[in-house]
Amino acid sequence: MAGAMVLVGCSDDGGGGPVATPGFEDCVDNPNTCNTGPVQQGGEIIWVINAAADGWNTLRAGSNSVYAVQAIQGILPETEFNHPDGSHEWNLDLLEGPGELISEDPQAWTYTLREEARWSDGTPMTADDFIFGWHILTGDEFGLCVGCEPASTSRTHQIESVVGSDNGKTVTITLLPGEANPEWQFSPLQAMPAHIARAQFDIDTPEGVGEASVWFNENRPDWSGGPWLIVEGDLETQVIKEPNPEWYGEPVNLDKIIKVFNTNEASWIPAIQTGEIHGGAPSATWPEDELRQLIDLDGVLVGIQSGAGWEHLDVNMDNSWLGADVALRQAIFTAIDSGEMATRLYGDLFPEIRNANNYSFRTFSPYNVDFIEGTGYGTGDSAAALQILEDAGYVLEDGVLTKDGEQVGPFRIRATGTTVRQTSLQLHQSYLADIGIELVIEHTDNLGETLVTQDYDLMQFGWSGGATFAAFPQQMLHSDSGSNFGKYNNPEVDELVLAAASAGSLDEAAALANQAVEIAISDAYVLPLFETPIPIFMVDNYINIRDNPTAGSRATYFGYNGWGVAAQ
Amino acid sequence: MSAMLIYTVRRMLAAIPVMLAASIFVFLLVSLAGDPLQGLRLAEPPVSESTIAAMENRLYLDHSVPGRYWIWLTGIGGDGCSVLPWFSESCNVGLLRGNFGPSMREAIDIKSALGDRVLITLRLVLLATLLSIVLGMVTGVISAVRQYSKLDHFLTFFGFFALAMPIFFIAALIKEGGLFVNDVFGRTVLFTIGAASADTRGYTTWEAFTDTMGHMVLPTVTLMLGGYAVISRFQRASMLEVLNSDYVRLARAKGLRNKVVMRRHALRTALIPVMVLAVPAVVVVADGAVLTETVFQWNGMGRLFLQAVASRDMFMIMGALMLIGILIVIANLIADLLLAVLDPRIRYE
Repeated sequence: MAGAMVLVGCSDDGGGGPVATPGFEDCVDNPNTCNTGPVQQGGEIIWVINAAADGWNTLRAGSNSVYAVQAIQGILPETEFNHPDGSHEWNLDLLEGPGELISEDPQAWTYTLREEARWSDGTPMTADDFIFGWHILTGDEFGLCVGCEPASTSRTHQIESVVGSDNGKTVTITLLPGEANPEWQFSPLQAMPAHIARAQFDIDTPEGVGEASVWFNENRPDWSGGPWLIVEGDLETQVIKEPNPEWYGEPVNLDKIIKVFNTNEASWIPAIQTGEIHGGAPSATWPEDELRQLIDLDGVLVGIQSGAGWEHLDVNMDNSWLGADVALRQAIFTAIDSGEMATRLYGDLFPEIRNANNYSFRTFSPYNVDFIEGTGYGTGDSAAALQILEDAGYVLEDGVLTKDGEQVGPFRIRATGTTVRQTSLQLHQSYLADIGIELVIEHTDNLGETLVTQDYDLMQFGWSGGATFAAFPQQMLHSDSGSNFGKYNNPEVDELVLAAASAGSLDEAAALANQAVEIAISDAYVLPLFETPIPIFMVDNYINIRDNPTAGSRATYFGYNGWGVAAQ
Repeated sequence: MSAMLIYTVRRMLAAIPVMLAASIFVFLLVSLAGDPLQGLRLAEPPVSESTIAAMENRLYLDHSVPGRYWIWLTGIGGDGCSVLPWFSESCNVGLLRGNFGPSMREAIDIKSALGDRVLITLRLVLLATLLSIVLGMVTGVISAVRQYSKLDHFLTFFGFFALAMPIFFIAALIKEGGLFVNDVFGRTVLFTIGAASADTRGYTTWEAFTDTMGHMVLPTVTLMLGGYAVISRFQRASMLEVLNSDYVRLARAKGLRNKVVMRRHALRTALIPVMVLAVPAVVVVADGAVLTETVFQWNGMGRLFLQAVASRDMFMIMGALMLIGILIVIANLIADLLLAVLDPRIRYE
């Protein structure tokens, strides 16, 4: 089941005729189909994106923000997508049928494109577009592109070849010997219009591919391989989309979608009243005051649900006290009341706030196993924490924890300066005071440097996940990973996370990831705190709009083809 | 060569070390502000080291701080830049070549962005300044002439109120006022976000004009109030000083009509300092535009700057600050020259 979504607004027809009936209520039980109903043909919507986009080519690292993804969503052809509950679906507007795994060693799979699949200028879509898209997603060292600066190469560097057959309509992707991608159906490739690139650059050379990648980043796409075509816009103000006249799939309902970049949360309130915007699903923010005001507005619906992001407290394993003794870490994790913390921070607007219980899987994932239950972590049970410490030889005297006559700590606990995180640090401080550990709160405005240089004893920050998961445990827990900031080192976990990243199937990868997480949690390296809620709001006469916590595109995920105005 | 010209040239030469010092200060400030690639280093899935290295190279982060400053200032050592020709299209860095450097946002050309945004901000700022000067002068003179009257007390209160209120608070109040007006009319006549409606492609010229005006009303009034308050108080003080001066008393003693004394003798003199204040007032209003643009979601210099800070776009931040610095230097120069022209008592040797 998807994360709990609560309806905290209400619809009101105000005597002005029928309104969209379903709203967000049904999203609790039916996250993939909630807010459905009859729609009328035509109409438009102005949708807020809460930060500007950095570039048009989201395959480049510098432009791969969720804001750019949301801005161009509906332009790039997608072989598949995932629903709000995380379930996977092949895009049968583009493909003849589901992709097929045709070989396990070397791993290879195929897509067969529909004959009708074409770009907005009428050029047929072929394997060339996938080959070009693969090249763009490789780093200089791979030899296929110079200067592509790809957003990620962890999966594309596994590929040995992308080959077209059947007049280019069948695409076969083969991995290098020994490589495996358990998430192959979540395509690591993105088709890009090779014919447009070829008309200007020699994309048979790495340099030409790089130049094309930059060109696609700098120029607003006047092409499309999806249901929408950008007809106007820039990276600062807004993007206007109209239906792609060459779209080969299910017709869209709206005549126009305008996505406006609007960073000022306070401005959403008057703007939605004047009809200057109609909705939005802000990313990476918790505009609590604005949500309260939106809830109070007639004719506006607000939904809140668990997102893919989660907050956690990390230990610096190189700290002489914390790294040396698992009992001390376990006691600290036990003394912290993550439930109370989550409720204090979000409970007022979102009573269903959930504590995170797994590094790899959010509570709404079918692979989620609760590894916190039974450990005592996050319970705020200071008596149990003190018992753990006493058993390990620690002594609490005059409110100060000591071992062998030496004071334990004080420890520096750090986080960025958001309200949520600063309040969290104060709560951590009070929890650990109960077991005689002093925490010194220090803000950081440079999270990356603080993490990379291990300039902390305890650190609270967030990770964000998506539909894919297999590579994440390696990134977070492997002793050689640059993102294993606290330098956790467990050879058994190393083996498991490597195996998960290259497992033969999703189920196997999930099982291996869970094994690794279970060990790491028992080692008390990272305490999962809570799943960060995400909000969505909209005027109540729109249908088929629903949030998708598993997609960076959020509510504009593939399903937004069906957005429409409620039928009168 | 006239004394005025010599003075002007001297002032312009004096501005060079000022701008140089400003460039060092701005550069150090931004360089010490943190790692611009922090977000990428923490990205999930991880961005490859070769990509990070390529971006460091593109943004000159692989140079030492002094080396980076040198490249930013001169362009020498920058990609596609050579000593000769000094101006080249392939070179995008070097302040002394008129280039601001590469943006973190690769798709954005800093020079074009700054140019576009300055125009948007100026549209707002110039109108607001003009209105604030006119309104400030009129109310300042009225307050002075009717000193301690009920009207003077009211205008004084209103002026201090506008002075005391933070601009974002004024903006919020005015926005609420706009919503009230819309309620009264039953339709949107005053817009609350943006410089224009979302899609104006099908608009006639008249529709586009009224749409633009409709979007300008609230932010212009907001900015105008900030500038008005300063000018009004200044004008009042200036007028009172003149009204109490000996030559005005003499004019009255000679039996000149009050209207003539006011217009020919008092007002003319009292307007001089305010006219000179008008130039820096543009800068003051532009300063307020940062917040006003944010509140009303105008894509001007203010929003560009805040966005650059948020994304740690160092060359964009430095470019915006230097541009503002240059504008302030020019504004001060114009103000000084204007004073010399308007005030016959001032002559530059």
